[in-house]
Amino acid sequence: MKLADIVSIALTALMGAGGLVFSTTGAKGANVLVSAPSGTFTYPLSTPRTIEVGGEHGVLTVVISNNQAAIVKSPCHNQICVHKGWCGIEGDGIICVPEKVAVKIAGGMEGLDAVSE
Amino acid sequence: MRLANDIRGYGELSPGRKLVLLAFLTALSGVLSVADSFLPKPIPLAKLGLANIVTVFLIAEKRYLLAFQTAVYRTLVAAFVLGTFLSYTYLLSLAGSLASVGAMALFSKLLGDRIGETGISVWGSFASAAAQGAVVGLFFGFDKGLLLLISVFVIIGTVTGALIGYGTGRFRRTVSGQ
Repeated sequence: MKLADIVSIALTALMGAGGLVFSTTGAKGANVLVSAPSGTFTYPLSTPRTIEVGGEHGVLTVVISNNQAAIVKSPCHNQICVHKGWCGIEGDGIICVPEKVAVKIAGGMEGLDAVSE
Repeated sequence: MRLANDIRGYGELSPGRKLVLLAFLTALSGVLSVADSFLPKPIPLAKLGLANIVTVFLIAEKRYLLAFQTAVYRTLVAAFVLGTFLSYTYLLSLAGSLASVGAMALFSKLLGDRIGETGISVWGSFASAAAQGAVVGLFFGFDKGLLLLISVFVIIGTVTGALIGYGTGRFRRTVSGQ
């Protein structure tokens, strides 16, 4: 193996690890934004609930519990969204590409006078 | 080995023989792709990338155009077989393949013989994960969840890319008799 090979492995591993650390640290979120083909809906993270969301090919189940959200059931083939697990940090989220559904964790509304949509 | 000789002497092959070689390489990488899907995966889509053996081999032999053609046709064949042509999945697969071959060709051209198959393959895996993440981000927006997913794929891709690259290097030296 050549020096450039070892440097390449080290650089890509470092970038992956950096992204991993950055994406898993941050402030706790306050709201869940669920985007589906039928529209975008907002739910507070503090209230546990189960939401049925209509995707492109079927119904997905989103669960909010312990200030975290997860897609626990999806009709998609790869199930990447289900394997993503729970997320509760502001800026975190889950995307199901085949079903065109996105679950995003947003912060609170403190500091804002109003929200316009 | 006749296949390796044909790849090395690609420029001198007749148009008919070039077409046969392209078809053979596409079929070979297609079969490797299918074999790959039967192997156990730690998480979905985190494949070993057996089809990249063909791409890394071609890039290491400086057959950049042939590597691009093989990668595009392989993606197309897989999409027709799986019924995903022109879907999001196909778009992700195509973006990953093009970025992967592009990055491999770039590093091979920039560094020449100073980089081996392992390094080339690792950058290919990295570019594939980054490009697929960028496509998802363009459609659904970038967030920490997407970054987490890309990071996990980059780390897994570093390991699998290094293994595939190292294996391809060993294979190349065997067929070259070195």
